[in-house]
Amino acid sequence: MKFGLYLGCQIPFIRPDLEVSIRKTLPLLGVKIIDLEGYSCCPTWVSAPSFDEDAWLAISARNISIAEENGVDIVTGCNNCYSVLSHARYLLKDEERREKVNRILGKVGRFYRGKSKIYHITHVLSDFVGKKKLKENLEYSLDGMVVAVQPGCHMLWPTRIMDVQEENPFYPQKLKNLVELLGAKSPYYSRIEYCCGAGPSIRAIDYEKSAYFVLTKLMSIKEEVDPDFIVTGCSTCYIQLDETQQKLRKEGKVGFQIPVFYYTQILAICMGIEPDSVVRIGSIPKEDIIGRILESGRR
Amino acid sequence: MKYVVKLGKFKEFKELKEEFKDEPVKEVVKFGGEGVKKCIQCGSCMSVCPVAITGFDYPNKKLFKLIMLGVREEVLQDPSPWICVACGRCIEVCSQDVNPLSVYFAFRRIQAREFSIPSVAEEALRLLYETGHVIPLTGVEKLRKELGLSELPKSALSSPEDLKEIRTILRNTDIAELGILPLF
Repeated sequence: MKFGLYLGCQIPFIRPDLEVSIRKTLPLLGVKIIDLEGYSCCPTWVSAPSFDEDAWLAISARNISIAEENGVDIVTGCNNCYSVLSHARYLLKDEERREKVNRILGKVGRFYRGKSKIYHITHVLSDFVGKKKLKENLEYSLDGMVVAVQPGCHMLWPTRIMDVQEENPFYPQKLKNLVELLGAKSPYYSRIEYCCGAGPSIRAIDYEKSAYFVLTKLMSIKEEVDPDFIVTGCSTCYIQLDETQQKLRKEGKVGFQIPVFYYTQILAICMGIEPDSVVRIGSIPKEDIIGRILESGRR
Repeated sequence: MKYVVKLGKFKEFKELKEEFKDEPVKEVVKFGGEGVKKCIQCGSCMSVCPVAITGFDYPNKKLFKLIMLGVREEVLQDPSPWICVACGRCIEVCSQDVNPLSVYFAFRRIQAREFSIPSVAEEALRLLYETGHVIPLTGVEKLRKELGLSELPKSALSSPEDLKEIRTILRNTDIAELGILPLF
């Protein structure tokens, strides 16, 4: 099993510890990853797609064409990249658009065929690696712990553009199942699919409104689930729920703290990988949780 | 009251000449929002839109109504279309296959041509052209090295040839006409 790892901007530039967690876990699970050398920004929604459709599709097509040259499908850990590339791939099934884009790509010696598919890392783990292989590689268990999951909007909608789909994206199951596989309980809560408020531009245009999403979400999680920690499938949600939670605490709007993990971080810890290498940056301390897993969780 | 969609006070309504009424629709179609014509104002998109309830002036179906009425100028300077988080819920639930997200983005493209662009978007486009990424590097190289990663990702950022491709692509689209890209 081989995939082209499309990192995007956020993970390598802002949370490289997530990159480590991806690079360390996947190969141990039998997934060979290759770098898509020379890639660029997907391009994120607030950049080229907001200005011109041809520019967006050409840059996305260029990124996908790098995977095509390597004969691999793409796996990405960033929901934003996942959605931009998936939308582009869907639109480029239209022959007229594809021809137009290939005329632009011709100027830089590239060609888009539409052969490589786009997957989110959650999809690769749940639908390609699978339960059995994952379980074989676990050294620690989250037994007795309660986790609130946050899959993130962009890997749920619209299902028509995706190659791996949730049965009902308004009741997402894939991330929940992956968390429960590690031994934790992951109950449903009413705002499980609610947006984290860290959209491409809302945070920059109106921070107050963006933070309100986090507040609503945290209150719902605390009251309905009261978890030991939160696990996200999206790197943007991960940063937003962690950092904005800390800001809300300082503003006196939240009186509790819930640590936040990205799925491959908690997976890495459960697989016995050195926690210090996969959990390095963050606002709400995670040491307690990591300590509890390492102390009592050996399978 | 802030969630109620009210129409009416626009001065444009009075001045709008019948022959220009279809222009905004044609414009939105041209920029990728062809579905707008199919909107029946059912409100499904608004019922699932995470940002519709945050109090911006022109949430999805209200924007679509104005476009269909031929009103353009009133919304042109408004940031509402830029608030969309591109989550895609509206595409999933729309019974008429409008693809509301694409209409929002088409309107952004119109706004961009009228220089009504939030600074965050302009900066993102400029960074994409200059570095191949929209997030600037802020000294993460040391930590990356410490974590056993390459100092820079193996992207266009560390490859002048690939960066040149990104610039050539952008230069060969309508974005080049917007006066945002650097001159070099």
